[in-house]
Amino acid sequence: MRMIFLLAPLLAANASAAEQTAVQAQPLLLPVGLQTEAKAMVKPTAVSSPKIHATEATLNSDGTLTVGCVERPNPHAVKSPIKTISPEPQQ
Amino acid sequence: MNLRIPFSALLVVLGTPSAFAATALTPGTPLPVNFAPNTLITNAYIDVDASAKQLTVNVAGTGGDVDVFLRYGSPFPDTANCSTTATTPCMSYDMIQRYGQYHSMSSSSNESIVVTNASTIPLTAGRWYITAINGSSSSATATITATPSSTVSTANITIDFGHSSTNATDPTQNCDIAPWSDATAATPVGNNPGTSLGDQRKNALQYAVQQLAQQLNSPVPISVHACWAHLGGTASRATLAHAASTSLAFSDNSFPMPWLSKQFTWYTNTQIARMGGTSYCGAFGGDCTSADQDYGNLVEITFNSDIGTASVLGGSPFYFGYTSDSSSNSSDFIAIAMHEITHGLGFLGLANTDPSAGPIGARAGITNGATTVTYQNYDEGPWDDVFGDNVVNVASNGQSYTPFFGYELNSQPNNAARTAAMTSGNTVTATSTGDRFAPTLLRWSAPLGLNFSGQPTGSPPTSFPSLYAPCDMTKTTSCSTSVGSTLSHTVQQGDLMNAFYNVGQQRVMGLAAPMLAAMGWSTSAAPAAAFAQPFTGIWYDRAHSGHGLDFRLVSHTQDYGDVYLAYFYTYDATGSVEMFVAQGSVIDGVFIPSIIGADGSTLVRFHYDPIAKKATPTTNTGGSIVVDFNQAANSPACRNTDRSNAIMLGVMSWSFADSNGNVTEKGDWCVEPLTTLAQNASPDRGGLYYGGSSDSGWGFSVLDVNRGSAGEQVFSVLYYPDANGKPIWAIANMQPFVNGQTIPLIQNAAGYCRTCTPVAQNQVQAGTITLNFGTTNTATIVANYPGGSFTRTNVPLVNLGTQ
Repeated sequence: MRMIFLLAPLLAANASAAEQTAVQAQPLLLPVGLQTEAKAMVKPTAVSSPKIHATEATLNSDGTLTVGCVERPNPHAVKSPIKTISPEPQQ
Repeated sequence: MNLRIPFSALLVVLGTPSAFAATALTPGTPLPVNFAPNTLITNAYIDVDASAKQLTVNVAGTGGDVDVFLRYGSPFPDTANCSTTATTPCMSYDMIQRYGQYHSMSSSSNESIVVTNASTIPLTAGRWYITAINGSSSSATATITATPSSTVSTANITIDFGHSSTNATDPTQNCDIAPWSDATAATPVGNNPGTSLGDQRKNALQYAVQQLAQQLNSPVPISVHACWAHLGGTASRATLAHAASTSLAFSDNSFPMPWLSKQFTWYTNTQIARMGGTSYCGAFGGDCTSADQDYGNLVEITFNSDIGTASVLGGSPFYFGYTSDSSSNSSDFIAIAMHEITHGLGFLGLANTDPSAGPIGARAGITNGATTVTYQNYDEGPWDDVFGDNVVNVASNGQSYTPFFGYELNSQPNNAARTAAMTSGNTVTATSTGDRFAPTLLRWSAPLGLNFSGQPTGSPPTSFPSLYAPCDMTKTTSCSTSVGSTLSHTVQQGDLMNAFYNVGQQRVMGLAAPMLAAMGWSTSAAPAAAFAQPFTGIWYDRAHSGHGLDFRLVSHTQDYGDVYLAYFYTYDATGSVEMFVAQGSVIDGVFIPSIIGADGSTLVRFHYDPIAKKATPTTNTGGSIVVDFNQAANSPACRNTDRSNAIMLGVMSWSFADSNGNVTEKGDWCVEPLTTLAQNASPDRGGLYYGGSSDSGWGFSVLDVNRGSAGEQVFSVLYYPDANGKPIWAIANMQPFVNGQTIPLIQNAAGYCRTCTPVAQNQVQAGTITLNFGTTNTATIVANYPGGSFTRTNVPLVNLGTQ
């Protein structure tokens, strides 16, 4: 990334992996207000599926089964989206 | 590659490219790395030749939380080229994630990414760059290993037979694992060698997932959590099993996953892991040994442990044989498992089919506090889903079709058309092998070319396979002969994903294989990824007219491509003009700015010094900005008003935070350019002008447009300091433009803040500007602010925008 001023390179350019010398990692910016872990602000939006699919069997009068798949609300839906967004004013 | 940015000049002066630090990896040889808390190693790399079809990147470590990011062709940002100090590093986790085309970011220090020639950003000969971050407060040691291969591996679908759970209020939601070890003696059946009921059950499920794995050829393992529960039933009807993927997600500016072929679109976690070449927690983060993350399982299937009891379906049992069930009074366990797990793999349309959840046909959005997606009262969204994006509505004459999810506004959803298509088929003919359904108007948007009896032929849309569409999805017996759910099933007789199972059900995926391939499961070589290419100019959001983004190309670097300055001219909380600046590169079609402030801010404000005639950045604004120009039309931000005639779109995500890092305001705006480059006048006077290094801290952009017989139009945004040194702005617009003629500077008497309801423009004159374009370009400016004016007379100009 094209940043402001050049400092000394922090990693040895083209260092050979074959040397097996452990590389020392370099500092990372910490989020303001969360001064302990740089990863703390990572927030995906993962939610539970709203639907499950269920195989249903119906016993017919002749003793045979008719089997079909139906869609139902997911009773295991427990994951609310992690991020919370304040809605913008409606126009 | 670096740019030196004397921000004191407000406008940039370009530096010369320089090499970035990099570490070569030897194929298959681990590189050891010591990570202190919150540290990273950038740009380890592996060179891949044309014979490679798969690249596997592994991190194996202890302590800390090391994550890995991968990208092709151009490097990650590098600490060697920024203002890193011990207290103000210049790279954040967020920035690295945005550069990454693939990532694995679980909460452990063991990560894996598999990229193949079929991936969305396919494995291509050349250099692949790797960055690893320990984002935790604990130290870690880890090795990084990159291994190219000329073959693509096939992973298993694994089954988690453990992790039982109980639900005190609803036992049907239990996960009972005891039936997997039921010791009741059983006679081997249909080549299933199990001699106990438990073994037969486990064998049958393992056989089912083996059949799927062999047909999917996924290089990424998929884990299925297998449960039993007392789901009950009556003498005439019962649930045999149910399944679902354990979560859904989408890629947007808040959490980019560039490996998904469609941005701003729902995918199941199975698809996300498959396309990302990683695990559940690799894709989303978290601890895949925890219940919160479903123990890393991507699909959960529950079988009814009441099946086979006398009171349910007359005691009709499951059939556990490997060979197809020829009996008409038992339930084929393997076919049922394959069908239901395939739903969990992504054979799932999210359009609403439940009238109690919202309008039928509605797309899935988010409502704060809800435990799943919602179909009304959205706080965010809604979004398309990838299944629905492959579906079309066929006209009643059968001759033409429209997308199931077309370009439509959030406020004007085309739910009615979707509902009509989803209830378009009700003709059922009973045959000796099952029910045959007439073609519906709800179809998959490609002829899939499988060899099924009765498969549609001809030209599209006649050749498109129909999807199940009962006449009334809420009354399943009214128009069809039995139960079945709309949208997420085929009507092809004998197909695995037919809404109804037939006697002697085949254990092949049938239509599901090519349909899933269109949704991330393809094993065919993929074309090179293509990304949007924005261009210099003034961009604005129709829904926030009056604010804008002056997006100026100022350089091109070998390693990082086009470099832009972005001026966000806007209004503060009181409606007064204010502006911010960012500088960065367009990476894979996304404008990713450099970090300027120690707080990680990328939107900076300047303070002008009238004596020194320069401005210095007020770096800790807490502001950030990202603009994604890829597939922006899919985003909710671009669907709040009609933009169907826009030249190009981008989603500009901006935010500001307080000194504690708490976000105080944010927004996703849909920006588009005022004009195309082709509309520019010739000669083109457009550019980004300022007074040179001895007179900086102010400047103006010029958009020079050929309006044909209406003459040349010059549109300019002037950036200048007020009495307190705060940067503000005004607009000049002249058509036809006359060189040397004085143009009024215009401001709004009262603008509206970024999160306020837009108000009508109330333009007032704020001074004048006189532009003289010639051998030497000059400007004369009288720009007013409360209590005074910023003035320049015949000042020579430097144009940065032509570099």
